[in-house]
Amino acid sequence: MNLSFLIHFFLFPGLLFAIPASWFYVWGERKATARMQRRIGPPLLQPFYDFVKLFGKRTPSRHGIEADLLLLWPALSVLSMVSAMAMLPVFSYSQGFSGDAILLVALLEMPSICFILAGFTSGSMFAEIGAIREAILSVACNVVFLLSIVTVAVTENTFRLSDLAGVSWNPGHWIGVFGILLCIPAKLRLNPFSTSSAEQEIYAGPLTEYAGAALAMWELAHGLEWVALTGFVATMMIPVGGWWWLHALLFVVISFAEVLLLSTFAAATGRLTLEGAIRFYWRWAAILAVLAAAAAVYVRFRP
Amino acid sequence: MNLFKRLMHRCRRKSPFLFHINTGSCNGCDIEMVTCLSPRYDVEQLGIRLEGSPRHADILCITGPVTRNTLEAVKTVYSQICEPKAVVALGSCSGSCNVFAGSPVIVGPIDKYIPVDVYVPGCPPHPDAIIDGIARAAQILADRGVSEAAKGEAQK
Amino acid sequence: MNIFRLIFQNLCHGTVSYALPHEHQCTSNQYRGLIVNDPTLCVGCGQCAYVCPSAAIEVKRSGDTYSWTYDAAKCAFCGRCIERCKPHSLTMESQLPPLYSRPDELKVVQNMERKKPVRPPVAPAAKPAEAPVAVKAEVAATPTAQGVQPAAPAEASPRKEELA
Repeated sequence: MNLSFLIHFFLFPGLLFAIPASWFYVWGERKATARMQRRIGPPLLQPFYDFVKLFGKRTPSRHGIEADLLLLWPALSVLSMVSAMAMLPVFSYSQGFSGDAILLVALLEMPSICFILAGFTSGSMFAEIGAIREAILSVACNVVFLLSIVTVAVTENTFRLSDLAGVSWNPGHWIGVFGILLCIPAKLRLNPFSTSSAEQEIYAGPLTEYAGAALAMWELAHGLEWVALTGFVATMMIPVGGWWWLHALLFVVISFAEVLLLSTFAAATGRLTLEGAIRFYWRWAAILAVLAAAAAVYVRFRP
Repeated sequence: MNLFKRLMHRCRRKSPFLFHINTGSCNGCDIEMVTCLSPRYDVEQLGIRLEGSPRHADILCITGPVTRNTLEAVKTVYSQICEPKAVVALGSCSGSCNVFAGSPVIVGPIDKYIPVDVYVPGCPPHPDAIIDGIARAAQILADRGVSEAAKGEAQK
Repeated sequence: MNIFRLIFQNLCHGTVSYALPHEHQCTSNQYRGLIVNDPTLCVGCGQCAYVCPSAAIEVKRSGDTYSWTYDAAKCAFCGRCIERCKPHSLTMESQLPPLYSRPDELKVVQNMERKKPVRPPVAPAAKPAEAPVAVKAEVAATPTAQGVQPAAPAEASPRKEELA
């Protein structure tokens, strides 16, 4: 619990940076989608207004263990995302909260698991359908995600985040980064993989029964997922060395560029059915990921 | 506390979430409402978002004269929306049953069952009128939130 | 990759949205809006109330006065009342009906007095010396009195074309 950890957790890239950044990235996605559809789009502070307004709603009272569980899932999602943000190796020297990629992957997985469990504990059939879809999709997408991380780790010969970060001219590194980018739309429930929170089709998916402050926490967790996932990919694209403020600047710029890229793909595609989505991940992405991981292991360990 | 109340008032006015329910309408009013979300009118500029669940919404937009079959559904949806809330009756059918008044399967305009804040007349109403109606309902919602908070404090 | 070309074109061409909030710019002069009754021309026949499908118009007669009530909340803006109105006192304004918050806020009530019928002018009896000219004048006078009616349908058809 030294000063560096506190700065990483609370200041940058932790709480104080992550929350406004999440609002900014969510606004960027909505504005970019609007402009691509020749609309004007929401004003800059719109996600902030939505967040504050939700705290003013009087939610229905629930009783029993269900009430506590329903509040637990969004809180767990937000906490795990903030911790994941704090772990990101933005700076080339990483003191304090240095961890390895396995812990980061586990933390990045928490919101998805909490989403599924929230759907099952809601007691609404629409929430259950959404949770089932999210569960099936996350299994398919995690195979690709984990294999991509393995590819990068084997190429760099380490699982430590501070060593994984940084640009390297090894093709294995870039194939792994591409694989992670391929999984991000499924994790963020963007088109074409937005089947688990299909608006209007299954009402609001697993979040149907949420209202007020708990819903605000879910929106915040979603925004933090944006920051953490795009930030994770961005840290693997920043060159090592240089001034710390240049690192931070490049981190934000590359993350926002990824936000725009993902928004473009989301605006350009329609929603795939569950079958179509898992066919994409199991048939194309998983096979390529297996090949890439096998190639990386072979290259690393060949005599 | 005054600053917090002003902030909440501004946020409620600037971010109205809609839930739309059709109680037997001919779909003309629904089409005009969806037109408001299209690029020509783009109500997302005002922060208006069409939500999938009544629990997420602030403003209930009702179209159609209420038929016998949809009455219980409308009452359930109205009770599921969390306070503070506002109701907009879109179209002349939900305001006054229009040509269907007196029909045996129409149980009357919606204001017999739930309190309506803004009526948007027209058959179908123009998208400008719909946007005006929703903006006015957002203002009513924000004022109602402030007055309820004041009442709550006075009771303590 | 047509969609990406479309997106690029959309980004280049800019937005097509109206910047909200903006004043009502809806209406062309053919927009079907509020019904307006001219009390100087209305005779209280009640034909508009008879053909109105939503009973938005009510005409009540009592003695020498009659009242014309119009509730814009019930109006379907179909235009049947205007097609049927013989004295052409009803017109449609290209104006949106306003928003309201209480049920009977948009009712318009007009109370009018029964109007005396207007007879067409009769030419005076001619002297015998001027008989042929007078007869011609009388013969010429009566077709013009009846000539008002054929002109009315001709006047009414442009309105029907406007409403169509």
